[in-house]
Amino acid sequence: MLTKLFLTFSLFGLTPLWANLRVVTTTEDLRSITQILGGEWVDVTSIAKGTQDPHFIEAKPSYLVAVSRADLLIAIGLELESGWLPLLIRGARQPKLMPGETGCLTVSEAITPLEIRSQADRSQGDVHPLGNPHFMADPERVFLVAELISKRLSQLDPSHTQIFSKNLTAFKKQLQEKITLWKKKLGPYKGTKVIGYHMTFNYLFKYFGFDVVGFLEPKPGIQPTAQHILSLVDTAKVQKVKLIVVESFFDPKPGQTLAERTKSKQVLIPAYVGGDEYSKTYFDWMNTVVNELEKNLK
Amino acid sequence: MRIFLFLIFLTLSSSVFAETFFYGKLLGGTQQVDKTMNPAISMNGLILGNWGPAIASGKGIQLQEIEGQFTAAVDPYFFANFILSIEGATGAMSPEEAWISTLGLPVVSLKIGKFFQNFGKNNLIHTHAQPLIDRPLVNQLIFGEEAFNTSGVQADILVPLPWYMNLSVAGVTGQSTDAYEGLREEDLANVSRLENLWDLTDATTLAFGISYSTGNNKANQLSHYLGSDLTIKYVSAKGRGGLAVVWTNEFIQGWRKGYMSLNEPVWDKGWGIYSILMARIHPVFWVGGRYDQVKLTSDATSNQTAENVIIAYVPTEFSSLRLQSGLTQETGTENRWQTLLQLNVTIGSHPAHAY
Repeated sequence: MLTKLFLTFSLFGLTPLWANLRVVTTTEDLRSITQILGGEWVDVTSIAKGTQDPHFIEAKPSYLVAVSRADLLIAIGLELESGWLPLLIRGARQPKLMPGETGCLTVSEAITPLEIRSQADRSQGDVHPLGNPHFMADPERVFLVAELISKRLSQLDPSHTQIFSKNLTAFKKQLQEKITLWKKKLGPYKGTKVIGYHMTFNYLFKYFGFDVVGFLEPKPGIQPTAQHILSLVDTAKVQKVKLIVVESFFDPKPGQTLAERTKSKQVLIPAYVGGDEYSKTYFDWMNTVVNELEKNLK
Repeated sequence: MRIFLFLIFLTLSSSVFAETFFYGKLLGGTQQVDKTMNPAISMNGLILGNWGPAIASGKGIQLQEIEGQFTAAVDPYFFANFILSIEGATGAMSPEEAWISTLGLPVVSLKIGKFFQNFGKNNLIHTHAQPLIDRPLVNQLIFGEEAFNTSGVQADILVPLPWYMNLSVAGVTGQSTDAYEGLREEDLANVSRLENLWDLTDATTLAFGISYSTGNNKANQLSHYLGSDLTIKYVSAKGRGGLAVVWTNEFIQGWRKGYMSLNEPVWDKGWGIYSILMARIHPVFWVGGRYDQVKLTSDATSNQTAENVIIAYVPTEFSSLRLQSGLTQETGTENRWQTLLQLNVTIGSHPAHAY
């Protein structure tokens, strides 16, 4: 009977009082953290898969259906999703999910971003003038993001505030323990020179003290060119670059070419939770990233 | 001298006052806040090289069109979208679209103003976003080069089903469109569309739509238009620049009662189809082609078929260079070869891309 009632309510886009909060996140890392914080009281789905570049998601109408039935939409912000999310929000026809409403949360509000550009134009590539949106790879900033999400879950479902608060405390404790472990693993490699593909791991590199000397993309969002790779060969040799770190959804060939011409290694790592079979949660993903970096630096 | 010093003082103080007044404490804001409230502005420019039969924008290398778009939420209840178009051939500026839609209604959205009518797949697509450089023949010959674009009110209902189903119903005035030329001011034509989309896999979708429109025509009788479309789209879930394949098919049929009595060279019955296959074979290259067939009947029957192929270089979301070549065959006329080269650039705010 309850199932029938639930289906009837759901069919018309209504949420029965006893139902879990329905949350849609734009990325898998946000999904994982929200699931940990909300526990059994939230049903979370992510629009972008961990294997996808969230800059270039197609605004499929089926995503719009998921958004239209959500109680809460959580996005990264800083224009990461600007190519597709506005269409989904407007198309969902849910006033409670409009920007500024309680049902719409942009987690970049919680953090101070890196690389804010007061002067930016498209000749610099596909830049984010408001700051680099890939801050989920910085564990310190994730503390702030988790606090913001937990607070919003409590606002939308006050009856479970205590549970959300308890989950947040447990999450922060686990994250602190992991940070100690990750720092222990990567600490010896502080100052290592690396080359990235896109600016996805800039927060991570800064957090663990790596020195980024270049990117395979000549400019953000621009495909690597042979000429640019040649110029990086000189940079990598002069700067004694150890690692070329490439997001696993990018073409590995440019990095491979560079690695072969220099005394460096290419490492492919998942850019988001769900980016490989081992990275099912935020902690799994960060473990994978740290372990891959450590393994290739030994 | 004192007058000179007074003028300098006045100039300096007025500019300081203006800066303070508009961006400072008097409005409780900052320059950044003021900019945030500006609409998102983007401009699109199309430069077209045409080697073949004359088309609206002329032969040789010509400015095809400039389009400026301004979008913003008006307040918590309305969203506005104004698109101004400057025709390259004539320099004439006109509102291509100008509409207001609701933000505050659940399930339904209402749209009022001038807009491309939600009929079929291709009619909604602006010139710069067409998969090939020109519109399909059936859209050009039945709805005109400017597409089915007129003023009216449209309601869009997201039907509460497990898959995406959108029902769109509109009442429009037909004066500015080829579909209902000569419609009286007091007449309203209607346009309806039911669109479905299913996820076959994470990477593949199937979309099917049917459209219908009817209204008074200039013979003061009814015209009817019926359309159906089917699109299968695959976009590699691997990430950006991966393989993508889009196969779009559309059928449109029209009946314009009373046109035979007008003593004009116009068709009264017609139908047409097109099939477009596009594939991204490299992160920055698309290739594709389109087959068109149209049959229009009045005193005599006119059959047209066309085959076009295209290659597009798309280095970023903001620019593309496309080369299209094709052959059009029409009963009673010589075959026409056409080669088009188009540079397409967008500046300004990052556009959101429709699926």
